[in-house]
Amino acid sequence: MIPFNTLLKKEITRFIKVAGQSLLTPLVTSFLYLLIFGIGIGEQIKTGDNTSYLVFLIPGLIMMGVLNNSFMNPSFSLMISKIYGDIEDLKTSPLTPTIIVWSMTLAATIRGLIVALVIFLVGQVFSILKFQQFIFPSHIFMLIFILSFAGMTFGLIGFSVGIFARSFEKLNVISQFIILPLTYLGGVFFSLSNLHPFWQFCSKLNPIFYYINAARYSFLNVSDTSITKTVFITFLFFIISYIIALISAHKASYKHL
Amino acid sequence: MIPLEINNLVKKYGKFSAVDGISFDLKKGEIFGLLGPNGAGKTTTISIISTLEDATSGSVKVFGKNIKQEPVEVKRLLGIVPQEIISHGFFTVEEILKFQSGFYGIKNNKDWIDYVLDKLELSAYRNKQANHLSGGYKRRLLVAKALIHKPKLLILDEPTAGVDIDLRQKIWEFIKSLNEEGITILLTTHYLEEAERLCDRIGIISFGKILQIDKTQKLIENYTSRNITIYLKNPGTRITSKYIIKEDRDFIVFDVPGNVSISELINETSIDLSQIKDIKIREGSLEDAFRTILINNKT
Repeated sequence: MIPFNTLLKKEITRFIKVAGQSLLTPLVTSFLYLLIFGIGIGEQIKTGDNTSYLVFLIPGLIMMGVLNNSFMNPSFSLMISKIYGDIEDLKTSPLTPTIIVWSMTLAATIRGLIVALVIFLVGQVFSILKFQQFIFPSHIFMLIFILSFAGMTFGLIGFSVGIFARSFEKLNVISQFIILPLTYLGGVFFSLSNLHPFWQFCSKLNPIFYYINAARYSFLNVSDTSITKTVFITFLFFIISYIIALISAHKASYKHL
Repeated sequence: MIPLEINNLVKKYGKFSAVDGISFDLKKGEIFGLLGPNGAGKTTTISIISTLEDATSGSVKVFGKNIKQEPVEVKRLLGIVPQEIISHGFFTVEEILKFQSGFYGIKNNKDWIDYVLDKLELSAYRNKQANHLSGGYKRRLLVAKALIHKPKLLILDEPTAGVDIDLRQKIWEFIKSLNEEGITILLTTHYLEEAERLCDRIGIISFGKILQIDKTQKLIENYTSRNITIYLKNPGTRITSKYIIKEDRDFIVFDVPGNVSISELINETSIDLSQIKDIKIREGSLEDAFRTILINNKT
């Protein structure tokens, strides 16, 4: 367990050392989203079940924060290590691919959950200011489960991308042109019930929709699809991501750029 | 148990063979120098031993353990100092060494970390970010990292490249002291004078092939000549020898194979000892032997 704990500690220490980037940025962006969309134009947006748009928005933003940050933690860590050259330590020391994958994934999940807590607290401030009341999740265990699962899955994806990427540009392509659009189209800002059936069908092909839907269900007790199906799909996505990450950890070159 | 056994090792990149069927062993407790020109295959060989590269064929065993079959056990026995200076983004010297200890399963390694930091004169920098260290100190940190789990076999790939004379001297002294403590050492360097002074045996590699392996002195003897100058009491004394390369009124210069002794030379020239005023000898060096071996191989 010592090698696992050490790499986990190293990864956590790394993102704490760059807290301005890893924790402050999501705080600022969630604040702006809630201010502009939740407060500014939220009054004019219908959510389908008369929930306030501000309250509707918070679970989606929390999940978006978890997905982005869990993805970024291992991918950026590995990319920076390739530039500095200390990525070779992962290969030349007795760390096994399984240890590397799990410790980096767990660190990614922890960062995702800390960001989730930060956004949740920002959301509480807005809720108190607007409605003079706290927001409590309806299904707390479901919330913890789905946030943790989302963090692990996107940590695994971030690991696979980071271990093979040879430049920050390539990382950004995955982050900005694949994950971000899928997150936005996955229903962070809207309910599927507001869409044409064709777009509803398309959205259900997007795996990120199920994470956002599950987070919203955990808070508001409303869902755009079956929760059993959601749990099944997120679990399947986790297994696929884990297999890919493990193969990547075995096949990667761990070479200095 | 043999510290390192390399058997018919091949590494190909497409049709190019970076390492072309090399075989050699290291003896326990020795310092072995793997020398060769740039691109000879030294770093590729070390990358294979350190598991950073997969060999195309052949085998590597460290203390009897095959690197393909028991990689984790092999890594515990090995310490590697890479050729290129590695940076360590966000962490301090002490954090890096603690993490490195943890990777090897060592939880409380403070005493040894203190010892290594002290030996490498890094103690004053223990709380400094590694990124802010000078090149020489970054190289010391790499040596400290390689030693953090007390390896039995230490591999140093040009450990003194780009460091000043003073530090170079200190690093060599430290390597010597580690060897005296029982660590077997494989090193590569372009400083042949230092390799000559430090290494028990030398392997010369070029174009991925081992050209020669022998004891350092043996290589020098076999592949260099001694430059012997005899000063005469009576200028103009006539002497004949197949080894003469320069004659003057007062002295004669002989170029004698390294394995020919002075008494053999004197017998060969039939010089009367009473005629000799002085003798100066310039022994061949490892650098001369290295050049000769490479030239012989080209022709």
